Amino acid sequence: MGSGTIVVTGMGAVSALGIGCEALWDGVARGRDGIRAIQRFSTEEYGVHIAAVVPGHDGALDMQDQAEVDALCLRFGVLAAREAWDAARTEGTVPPHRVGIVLGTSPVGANPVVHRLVEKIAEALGAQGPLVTISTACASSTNAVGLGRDLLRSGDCDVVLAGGVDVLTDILFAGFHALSALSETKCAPFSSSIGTSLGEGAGFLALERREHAAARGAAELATLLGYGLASDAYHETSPDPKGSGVSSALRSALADSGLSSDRIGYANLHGTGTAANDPAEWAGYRRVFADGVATLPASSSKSFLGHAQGAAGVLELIVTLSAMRRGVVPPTLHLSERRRGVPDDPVADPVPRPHAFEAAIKTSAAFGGANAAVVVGRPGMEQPSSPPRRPVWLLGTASVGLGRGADEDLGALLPRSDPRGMGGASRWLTMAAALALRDGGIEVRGALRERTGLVAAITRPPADSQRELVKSARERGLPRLSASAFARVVLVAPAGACCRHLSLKGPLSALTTGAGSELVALAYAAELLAGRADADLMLAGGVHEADGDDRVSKPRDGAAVVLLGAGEPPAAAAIRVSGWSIGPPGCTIAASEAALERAGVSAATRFDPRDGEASAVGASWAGALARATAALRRGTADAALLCSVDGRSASVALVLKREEHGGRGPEDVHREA
Amino acid sequence: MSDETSDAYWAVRSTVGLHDAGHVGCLRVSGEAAFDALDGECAADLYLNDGRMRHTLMLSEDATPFADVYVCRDDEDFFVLVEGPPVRAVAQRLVGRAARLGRPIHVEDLRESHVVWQVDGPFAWELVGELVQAEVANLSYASFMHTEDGVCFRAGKTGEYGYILLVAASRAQATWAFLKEAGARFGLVETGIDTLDLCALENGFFSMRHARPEGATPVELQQQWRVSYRKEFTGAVALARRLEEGPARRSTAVSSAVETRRGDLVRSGKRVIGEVYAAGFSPGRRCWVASAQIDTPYAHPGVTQYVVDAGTGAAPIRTHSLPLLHNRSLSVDPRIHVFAHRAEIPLPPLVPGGVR
Amino acid sequence: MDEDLKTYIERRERALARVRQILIRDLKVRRRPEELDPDTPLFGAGLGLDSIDAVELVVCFEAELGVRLSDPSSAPRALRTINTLVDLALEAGRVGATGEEAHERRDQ
Repeated sequence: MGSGTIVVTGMGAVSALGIGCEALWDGVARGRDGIRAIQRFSTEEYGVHIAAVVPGHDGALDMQDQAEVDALCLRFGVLAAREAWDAARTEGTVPPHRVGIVLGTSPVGANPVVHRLVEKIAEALGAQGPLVTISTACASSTNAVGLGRDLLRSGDCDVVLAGGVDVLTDILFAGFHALSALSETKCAPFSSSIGTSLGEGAGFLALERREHAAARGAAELATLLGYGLASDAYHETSPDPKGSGVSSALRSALADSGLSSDRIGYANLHGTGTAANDPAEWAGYRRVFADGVATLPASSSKSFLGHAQGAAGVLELIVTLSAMRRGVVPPTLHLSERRRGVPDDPVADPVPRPHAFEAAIKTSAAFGGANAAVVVGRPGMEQPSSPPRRPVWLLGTASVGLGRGADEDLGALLPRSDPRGMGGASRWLTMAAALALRDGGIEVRGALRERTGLVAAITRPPADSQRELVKSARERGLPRLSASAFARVVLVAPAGACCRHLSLKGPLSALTTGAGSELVALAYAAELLAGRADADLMLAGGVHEADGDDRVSKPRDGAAVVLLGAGEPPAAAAIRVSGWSIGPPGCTIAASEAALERAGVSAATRFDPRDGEASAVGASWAGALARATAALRRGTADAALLCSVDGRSASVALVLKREEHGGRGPEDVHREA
Repeated sequence: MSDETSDAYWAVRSTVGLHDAGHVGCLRVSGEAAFDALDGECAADLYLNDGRMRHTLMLSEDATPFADVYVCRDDEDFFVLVEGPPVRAVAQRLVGRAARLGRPIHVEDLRESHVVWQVDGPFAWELVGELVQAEVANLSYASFMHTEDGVCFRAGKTGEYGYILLVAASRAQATWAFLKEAGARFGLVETGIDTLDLCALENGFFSMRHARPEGATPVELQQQWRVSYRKEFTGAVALARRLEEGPARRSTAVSSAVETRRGDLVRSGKRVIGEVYAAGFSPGRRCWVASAQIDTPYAHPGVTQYVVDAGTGAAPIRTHSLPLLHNRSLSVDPRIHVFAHRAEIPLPPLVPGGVR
Repeated sequence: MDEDLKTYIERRERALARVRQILIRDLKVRRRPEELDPDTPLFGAGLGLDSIDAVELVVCFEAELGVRLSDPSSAPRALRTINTLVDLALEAGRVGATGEEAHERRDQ
């Protein structure tokens, strides 16, 4: 598997400051923002008329035509990805099937097949490695950079383009407007003028292992030192005012990077400028940096770029890296009348301030309570050895719905959870997760909350909220869009709801690769447990929801979740998740071989979805997983292989193995007595 | 109303009031049966995330209020803030319920080791922020946080920023001195319980410590938001029956230019339609304000045709929507405003058309 | 009960029914109408609505009752209890008659 330090060898950006990283930095260097009047659609009926739109692409667009929106998304994505790809001189020096892409995006509005975009970007570039779409709303691309790092460490890729794309649409604008989150004047983070400006664009980093970059002579732009994810378990759109999620993500990222907080010389904040975000985020920093916050330069690039949604994190990371290379820190523009509880030094300068630093941290916070932080350092920085890899155990499995109906009522299962406004996907996922915990005999309480997380495969926007959103747009008009439906329509919403109801404050991620998504979620959760030390339990699984008008398959809606644990085996005989691999699409055999090799087994019994199960995309492996665990427990199989055969984004394989430890454990003795 | 009381009132309504809340009990409930015992004794659905609290009631079997409680979830344990009966009576019910469930519960009376204070007012957050940490300004209503010396709950019945502080007895003296000293910069006035009761009355809360209308349940008291009809708890059966029958009377807020007292009758023409059960002079409205139980068909706000019979003849009253005034805390934003610059905060009048 | 009062109370009850309906249908408050007392607080405690619900409520009021709540000086006062919403609905006249605030202004 190998580990080693991961470096950045290329960057690409499409932003409101122009096409390319140079244009982006040029704007920042001159203290010039990209926020201006919106031409793309009419804002006549709104109180806000500005946004940070990509110049040259900001003309009117037929918002009714999803194909046009998709095409713009693709154009941005390809432009930025190609810039990173070219900068890293990937062409001809890396086999295409070893180049993966992790895309963070958070589309809202239409009913898109979310994972298609990354497939089209890969096709345009000629990248043929595994493709994963992360959709944790505004934290998407920050999380994507982290997963990109993991795919390199596991050996599944040699180069990963990690980043994000999102475009400004009328429905996105209407949604933020409905939430009263927009400012009439240019986004002025930390100021008494409250609200954000929306943005758009795309950004990518080319990541690879240091030895790999050196071997092919690629120049190192920066070191990717670590990342952290954490859930707020607080509210669907508002951050925990105490900043608990941000502080957990910061601590995780710092621990992952091996740096103490005093080594961080600059923080690039999420800094949206909204009433709720800025003080909550800084409260999170204060908890981690303690007295160090007084002197930590901390700015928000949203004053230049607006809030570029899924692309925000990576674009702001590119600003950070560009500044680091030049020995300056980027400012926060438009600052007036500093609010209470915001950074002491928000870099309130008109242009970047000379200030050399060796390492920086970037935070993102999102709807659904998803927080992500990334630590970057100067080129050549050594990463301390990562913690020893821990074994991962399968502790419990559960599924609800999926053609069997729900045998349990949410109220009976979770008497402390307010079901008001909970849609189908949230309900299914939360119930399956609660049952998986119960199956594993785990009660998540106390410190375990911070150490229990969730990776959910969510392949489409939650159906109920989607319907409600469309209905409110149709019946009331976009300016009166349903704010609550908008808040719940992001892909991560059901995962956030699940964390909220079960008090899970550990790593939270939501992803899709289309078919096989839930196995990818399982592999990612296993990797988070094995490769780092900040979580002890992970729930992983997926939700299936049929299309709104697909009445026939509606009864197949449901969710399946497994509970994984790291460290000591839970019993004398236990099922170990012993190997996994996320490989290029159409390469099931190669992925399976890699997973078997990592598991240290030569052969395994393969378990596949049966007829009727496979159509429940997002949760189609529930049956196969149940059969595999049953066979392993009975001893009719020693190792089980689960692999996706039809993934168009990626192939994924997992090996489960029955392991016996040191004769009889205390539990068995007890049972016999 | 004495000047002293009036000062205290205006402190709660426009600066900060501090009250040594001897009337508030505090229990710590833990053990395997903690949640189920509370769920079985409290009338509301206890939908609670960690760090959040729920304002509910404990009822007697006949559905009349037994205790006014906040249930606060702290990980898997709970704080219970109690008003009304002695805390041991509440503890007994919880222990009794746990015994019937056959599972262990541990109930600790924190008043033995802590003091409880209340800080209320549009700038309460600023004072408490100095005491605890700046994050208090971010603490949302019905949430709490642990502090160095205890717990800070954001709760209250005055409609203003309100905090209930649980402070370790060993730190009480120093903390009180700090609050008084720092409070001087925020216009702090020490308030009595009468002031808080009056403010609660203006904001639609009844007092557990004063006599209530005979036999009134949450249905008659307009407190159904604090109860559930979807779960079993002590008093649930009687409560459901009362709702099904439909309440004969309903609490209604009234104001009067002449002194109004508990027991005064409310009439519409010659017909007696209700009775006042709590009243006081409101410096904010500059008139008498009261809660009356009024026959349901008549129990609507915005009516000027009723009179109150105070024994000295009939005086016209007016019925109102609650709350009776516009709390200034709604116009004070801790992210932007500070006490020192309060003159610059645009404040709508307390009462529509009023001046102060 | 005199006719004026009767007419006023009838209008008030109609408006109350509409407000309860909006809360249950659009805000997804899990209550039967008769459980929603007229003086029920909307936010914080009370029905436990949050800032997103507040926005939704404003929009529903506009869409359903033609009541504009966008005036920032009146919105906080109307968004307190079910009764203050009823006052607003009556004041806007869609349901008829005048609300409490109108009474008060006339008096002062």
